[in-house]
Amino acid sequence: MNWTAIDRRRLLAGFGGVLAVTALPRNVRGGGSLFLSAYATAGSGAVTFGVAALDAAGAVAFATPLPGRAHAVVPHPVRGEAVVFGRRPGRWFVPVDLADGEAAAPVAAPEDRRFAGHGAFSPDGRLLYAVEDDVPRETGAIGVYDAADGYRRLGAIPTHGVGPHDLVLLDGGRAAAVANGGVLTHPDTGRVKLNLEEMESSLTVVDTADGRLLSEARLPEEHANLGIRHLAGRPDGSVVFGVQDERPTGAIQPLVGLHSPGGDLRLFEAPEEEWLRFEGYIGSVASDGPTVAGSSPRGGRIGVWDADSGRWLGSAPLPDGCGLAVAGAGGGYLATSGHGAVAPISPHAPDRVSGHGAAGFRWDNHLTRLG
Amino acid sequence: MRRRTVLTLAAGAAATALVPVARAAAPSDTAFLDRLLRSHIQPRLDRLAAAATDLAQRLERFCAAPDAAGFEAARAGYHGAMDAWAGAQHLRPGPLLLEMRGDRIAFWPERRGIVARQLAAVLAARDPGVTEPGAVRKQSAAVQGLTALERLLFDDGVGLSAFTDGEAGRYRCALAAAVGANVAALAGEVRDDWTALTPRLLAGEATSVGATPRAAVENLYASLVTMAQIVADQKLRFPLGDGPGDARPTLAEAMRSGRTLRSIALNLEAMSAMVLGENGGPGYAVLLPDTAEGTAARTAAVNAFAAARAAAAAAPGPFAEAIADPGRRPGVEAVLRATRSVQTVLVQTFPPLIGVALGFNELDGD
Repeated sequence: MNWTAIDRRRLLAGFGGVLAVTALPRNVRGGGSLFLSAYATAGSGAVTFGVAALDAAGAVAFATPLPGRAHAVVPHPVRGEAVVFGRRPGRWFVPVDLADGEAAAPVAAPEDRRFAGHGAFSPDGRLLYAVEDDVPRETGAIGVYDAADGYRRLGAIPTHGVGPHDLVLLDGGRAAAVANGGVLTHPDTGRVKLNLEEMESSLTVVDTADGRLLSEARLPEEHANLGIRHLAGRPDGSVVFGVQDERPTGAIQPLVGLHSPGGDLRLFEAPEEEWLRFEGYIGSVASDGPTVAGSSPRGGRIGVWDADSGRWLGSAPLPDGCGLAVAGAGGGYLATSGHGAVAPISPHAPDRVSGHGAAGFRWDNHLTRLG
Repeated sequence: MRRRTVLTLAAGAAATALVPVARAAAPSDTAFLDRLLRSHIQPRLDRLAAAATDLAQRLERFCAAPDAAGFEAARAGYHGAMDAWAGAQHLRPGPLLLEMRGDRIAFWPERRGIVARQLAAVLAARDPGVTEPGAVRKQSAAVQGLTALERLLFDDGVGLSAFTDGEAGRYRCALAAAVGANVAALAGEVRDDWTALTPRLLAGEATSVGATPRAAVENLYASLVTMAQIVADQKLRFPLGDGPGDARPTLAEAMRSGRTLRSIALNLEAMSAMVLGENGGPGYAVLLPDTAEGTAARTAAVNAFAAARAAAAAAPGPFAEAIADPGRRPGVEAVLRATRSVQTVLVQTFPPLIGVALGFNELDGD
């Protein structure tokens, strides 16, 4: 495999904002943040899966093989470690040392649970929340793990919805917003969608201490075919959400919106021909504060909106582009694609995209910025 | 609300800038689609519509005067419709996906036991409104199509008397006829929608099959890839389980009518036709470059499909028993292995050579 090695100090600097290693220069070589993404290898050989650290220019610091295809990567807020979740129906997550990419032993899901692919650390780093399906009860749950004790499972709290996928913590970790896609699956039939007619998607907010339902929001009936699948938190406590059309009717529908701290859902606006390009499918969302971005790998477009007004700012073409992260402290986005592209996106001129390739890698759905 | 399918798009030419794909020297997208439509897509959709209509007529005749010959004719009509469905099931983008038509034609894989549960509820209630013309399409998808019909015609212990004994028998027959009519209506809609969108597709306009002719070529190719995955995972791997003791026959498709392997064989035949051509028309292999690499890829596809079809033809049935029997199981496992080889050709060998940028993120629905 062939990738550009980059300075290990720079990798450490990537999460140095929190770590004691801030003594290391943060902007070696004028670079900025480092990012984590699951990948599949590209090329003629057998496909293998793993997790990689890369910079905004597409240089890869490490690439670590994993037991199978992975999904989201969650950095620990204090330790130089990240947790990589297996793709749903996920049977494991793997802690990875960010200094060298070395993977610890996978942590297996309980027999009656399957991980959904996303999770979050509590702000103090003590707990890991893993979104999961409670298989026998056909309902959503959040597995709670002790990150200070080898990821010992402490228990689970309900998501108060079916088919949960993504989660963001609110209110200093006291609450979790969960995207319940509404679609039921079962390990016997893999990713087959089993309840499309009755699907009921919701965005719930759950008390992380006791699992109590704090609020629940649904899209209006005319959008009952849309499943809320991905979330991104904003500093004011609002949450960006992206949806997927699980039961296509041919109608043009909005696919990205904002959940206010009060619990209302507001769908953003975009020209109809732009929504059309998104093919009913948002794969990832992010917000740099003033703006919001949502990617459609099926449409090969990334849309950008003004967060407060919901006004459409434009879109960036990126074939099979899905991974989306805030580029750095100055805002803007970095996007990745299944064809290996790594592309900065300016919220103010999104249509001007020039990317870098990372030969040998197909970047999976999600990109996470370190520090 | 406006429809996604009616807008004409100025295709974003810039959108291809970051795709690392070299286009082969090949027919234009619209020329390829035109010929594929005439030789492959339309004939198969015509066959599905005709087989479904035939099924509906057989059920109607049977219920008018139920007898043993009519019962056998109805069961044969089900097999005819399932054959045609297996031959068209891979044409997923567009009309089949819209309004869940594919799920309504055949609700499989199903949430455990839901078809049986919902059918039992309908049969117990004996609501005459459900068997009125057009009423089944307002019911749950689980009772609308061929999966429900299989339960009605082939469930354990079901024979002619199930359709003749009293009110319950008459209602079962009326429901079967109504489901048959619904399948015929759905298959007709799919065929007619394709017929209606074809001129727009060939004029370069946005349709439900794809925003551009290029997108239609790619979406139809992606649906071949998805179909291969459905055969390998849903139809074979999940029921096979990890070993004879772990086999799960209830996960098999069309297990009650004993046609699991027959449907798999017809799926493979249909996919093969879409790759290698049929009726004098092209398959995706015509998009391969005229180079040694292109020739090798074509040979790989010919061999992989031939091996998979041969394995499916040779596999010992009935599927539900064979997968739990250490003696017969290897024959079924061979079908899975051969289908995996087809997947490799479709996912790895063809895309870079035929200029199709197969998405990585777009296929998985996550």
